[in-house]
Amino acid sequence: MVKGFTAPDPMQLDLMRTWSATPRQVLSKLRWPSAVPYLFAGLKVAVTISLIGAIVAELPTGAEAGLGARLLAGSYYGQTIQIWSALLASAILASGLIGLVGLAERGVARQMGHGLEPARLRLGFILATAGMLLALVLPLSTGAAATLPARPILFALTLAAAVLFAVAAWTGGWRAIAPASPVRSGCRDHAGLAARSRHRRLGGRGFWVMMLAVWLGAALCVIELATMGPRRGAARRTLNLAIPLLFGAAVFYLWKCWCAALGFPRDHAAAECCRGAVLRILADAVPRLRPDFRARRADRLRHRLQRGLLVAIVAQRFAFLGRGLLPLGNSSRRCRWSGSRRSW
Amino acid sequence: MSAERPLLPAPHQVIAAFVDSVFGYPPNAPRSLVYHSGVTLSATLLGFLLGAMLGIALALMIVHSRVLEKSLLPWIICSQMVPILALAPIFIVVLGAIGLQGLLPKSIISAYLCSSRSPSGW
Repeated sequence: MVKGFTAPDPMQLDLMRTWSATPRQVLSKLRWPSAVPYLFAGLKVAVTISLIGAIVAELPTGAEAGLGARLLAGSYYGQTIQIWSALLASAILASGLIGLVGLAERGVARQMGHGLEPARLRLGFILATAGMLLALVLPLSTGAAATLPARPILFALTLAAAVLFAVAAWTGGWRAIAPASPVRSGCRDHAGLAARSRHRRLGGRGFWVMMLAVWLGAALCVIELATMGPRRGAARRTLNLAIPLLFGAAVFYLWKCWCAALGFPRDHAAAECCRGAVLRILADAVPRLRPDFRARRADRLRHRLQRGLLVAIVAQRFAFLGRGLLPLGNSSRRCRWSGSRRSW
Repeated sequence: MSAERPLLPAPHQVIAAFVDSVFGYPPNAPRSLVYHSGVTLSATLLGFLLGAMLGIALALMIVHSRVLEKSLLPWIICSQMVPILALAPIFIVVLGAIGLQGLLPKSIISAYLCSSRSPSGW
C-alpha cells in the first residue's frame, strides 16, 4: 500500500506542484488512483490472511464453533476425514473470498476506465481446484465393477487411452490436449484394478505399470501444453487454465492410486500393514537425514539453500514444473502483479 | 467408507464426508459444516474490515510523515515475522481477561494480520 502511494514518479508529483495542488488534492487526484491496483493486490493477500487468522484464533480457545474448532476436534478424536473436510471447506471459503475481492477490483477498474488485465493465473487456480474436485468424485473401489462383465469396458478404456497417446505422439502441437481424457479414463481403469486387487497388500504389477503410463502421459501432456505457442488471446488463456488444471488432476490421481495401492481405507489388518509401510519409509529416510542434522548450522543452512536453489533451477528448467506447480503455490500472493512491483 | 478412521483418507471419502456435512444437516446444526463456516466467515469479514481500514490508515500516515516511515514501518515489517500461532493464545488470554469473548478476539487477530500485511506488502 505504501508502495502504491509512492508509485507516482517525481515528474508527476512536480506536475501537480506546478498546478499548485494542495497535499490533499495530490492525494485524491494522483496518489490514491495510482495506489488502487496495489490496494486490491494487498486486499487479496489480506483477506486470505484474515481467514487464516480467524481459524488460528479458534484453535487455542477451545471454541465450540468454527472451522478451527472443527479441525481441533477432528485431531483430538482422530477423525482424519473430518479434518480433511474442514480443510476443504476452508479452501473453498478462501477461494470465494478472493473471488469476491477480484469482482470488486474488476468493478472499480471498469469505473476508473482502466483496461482489464486478464487475471489468468487466478482463474486458473480456481479451475484447478474445480479439477481436483472432479478428480475426487471419481469412484475409488467399486465392488461391482470388479466382476468379470466389467472387464471388457476397462480393457476398451485402456485401449482408447493407448490410441489417444499414440495420436498425441503422432501429431504433437495443440493436439496434445487429447491426453487429458485418457487421464480421466485411466482413473477409472485404476478404480477397477484397485477394487480387484483389494485383498492383496499392494496392487498387482499391471496396476503399477498402468499408473506409471498414465502418469507419464499426463506429464507429457502438461509439458507439451506449457511449452507451446500462442502468446495471447483466448488460446493462451485456455492454455493457462488447462495446465494447472491438468497438473492438479494428475497429482490427485497419484494420491488416489497411492491410497488404493496401499489399501488405506480397507480394514484393520490392512491399516496395520500400511502403517508398517509408512514406518518402513520413515526408517528408510531417517538414516539418510541424520548426517544433515549432525552437520553444523552453516552446513545445514547451505544444504537448505542448495535445496531451494535446486527447486528454483528445476522449476526454471522444466516448464512442466514452473508452469504447473508454481501457480498452485504462488497464486494467492502474486496473482496479478509481477515480482518487480513487489515492495517487501 | 469401510474404515472409520483411516490414516490417510482417500479423496472420495473426504468428498463424501464433505457433501454429507454440508448438505446432510440443517445449516444451523452443530454438525453442519455450513454453520462452522459461517462462524469463521463472520470473524474473518469483521477482522478484514477492521484490518483493511487500519492498514490503509497506517499506509496514509506512513506516506505523509517521514518520521513514521522511519520509525513505524520497520516494526510493521518485523511483526510479520512473528508466527501468528504463537501470538494467538496471548491475544485470546489478554482479551479474555478484559472481558472480550466470542467473535471479537478472533476478528482482532485477523485484523492484526490484515493491518500488518496491507501497508507494507505491495
